[in-house]
Amino acid sequence: MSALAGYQRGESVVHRLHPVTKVTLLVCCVLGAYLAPPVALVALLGLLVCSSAVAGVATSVGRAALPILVPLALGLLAIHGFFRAGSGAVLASVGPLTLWRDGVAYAISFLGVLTAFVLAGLVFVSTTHPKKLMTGLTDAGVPRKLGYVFVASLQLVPDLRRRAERIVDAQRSRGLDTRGSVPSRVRALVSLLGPLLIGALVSTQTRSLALEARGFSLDGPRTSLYALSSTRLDWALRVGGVLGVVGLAGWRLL
Amino acid sequence: MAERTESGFLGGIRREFTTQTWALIPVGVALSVVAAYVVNVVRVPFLYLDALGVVLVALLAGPWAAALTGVFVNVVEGFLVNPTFWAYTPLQVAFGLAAGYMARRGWFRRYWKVVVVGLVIAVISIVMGAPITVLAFGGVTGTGSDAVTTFFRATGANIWSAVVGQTLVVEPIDKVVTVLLAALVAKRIPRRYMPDTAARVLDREE
Repeated sequence: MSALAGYQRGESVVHRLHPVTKVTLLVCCVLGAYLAPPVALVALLGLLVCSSAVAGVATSVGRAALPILVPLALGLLAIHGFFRAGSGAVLASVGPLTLWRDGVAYAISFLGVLTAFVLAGLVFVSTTHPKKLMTGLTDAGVPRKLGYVFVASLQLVPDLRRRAERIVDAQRSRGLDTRGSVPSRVRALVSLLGPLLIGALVSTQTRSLALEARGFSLDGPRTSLYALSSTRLDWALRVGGVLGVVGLAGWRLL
Repeated sequence: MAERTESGFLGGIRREFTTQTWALIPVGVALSVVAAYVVNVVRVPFLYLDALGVVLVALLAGPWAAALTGVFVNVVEGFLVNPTFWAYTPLQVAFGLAAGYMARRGWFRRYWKVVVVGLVIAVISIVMGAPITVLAFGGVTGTGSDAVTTFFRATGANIWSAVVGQTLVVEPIDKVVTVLLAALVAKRIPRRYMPDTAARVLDREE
């Protein structure tokens, strides 16, 4: 596991959109990708690529998307390309394996949907700062404690990972067997995860004291470091996204 | 915080969410995400352990805290690793609720019962996960499990049977190991660091 995607600093139009707008558009893109006919799907993919270019995150999004999409593409080709005969038209056959034309077409169209899903997610992730997202959602009425959990989790991951690396080194120097039989490797997991969790729990007690000292469980309004405002563009995009999805759903049903 | 004397369903949920629980939830989330790294070190096939943090929070805090952990495990994994994790959020929520309520009823107090909890979670994972994999992802997951799905397709199974077959092979191993690890790790926590909300774990082995 490596953190492939991540927030990229920037001042583009996409970066400056209100976080609620981006969440709305993300949900609309994902739903739209599943509902859309091929033409609209290609247009959506084009829009996503353009917005990543406008935001200046095209390279990093591309680099993050490839390791996600290539295994999905291979899986789709293997599961559908070889085994979904459809009308029975053959694209190629090597030995006992037959690549069906309808199966490949199905795999490609499904890959398009998944690409839209992954690209929308990555553009969102790389242009939205988690703290601004938290502030935006709290302003929109999401409980503050949920925002804390989200931001604290994101920050804890690299911290816990460093801790895990140190524990792996320490236990290896004490003769931990990570190359033996599968049962002994599962036992090794206990000696790795035990110290990791106990260390994290010890710091949990300190952290809950620190949170209480800062009035975590008090009620009442809070002020935020970030001032967020919705522009006219925000509203246009929110309304446009929702109308687009409703339109596609209506077209599907009729 | 709510008074300790509060009773009823909502009161029970509120009692679960102490400040320590709120501090524990991010730990559970991060542990689930980092578990993938630790598994990578020891290289056990078909082991993902991405429910580990959820089951641990279920043991240490309770079902609803675990359900909330489940939501954030997938939100955060979607943020840091791969947005397709977002689609599987309902699974983790169900794992948390199941593990939490079973822990309350003493299902973590003996080894064989812990294995049963693992199997229950595996069944939840199969029943809820297979439809998501087939309908939202065309049957693929982008992991090594796809090889198993392809194998079942090669035996002539349709896409639904192939995906269910794949999850029947992969899920029970992953979930039983996850739950056993969670129980063993929770048992090793020194009493002074154990939250007040914790369920009893493996105290009746013989």
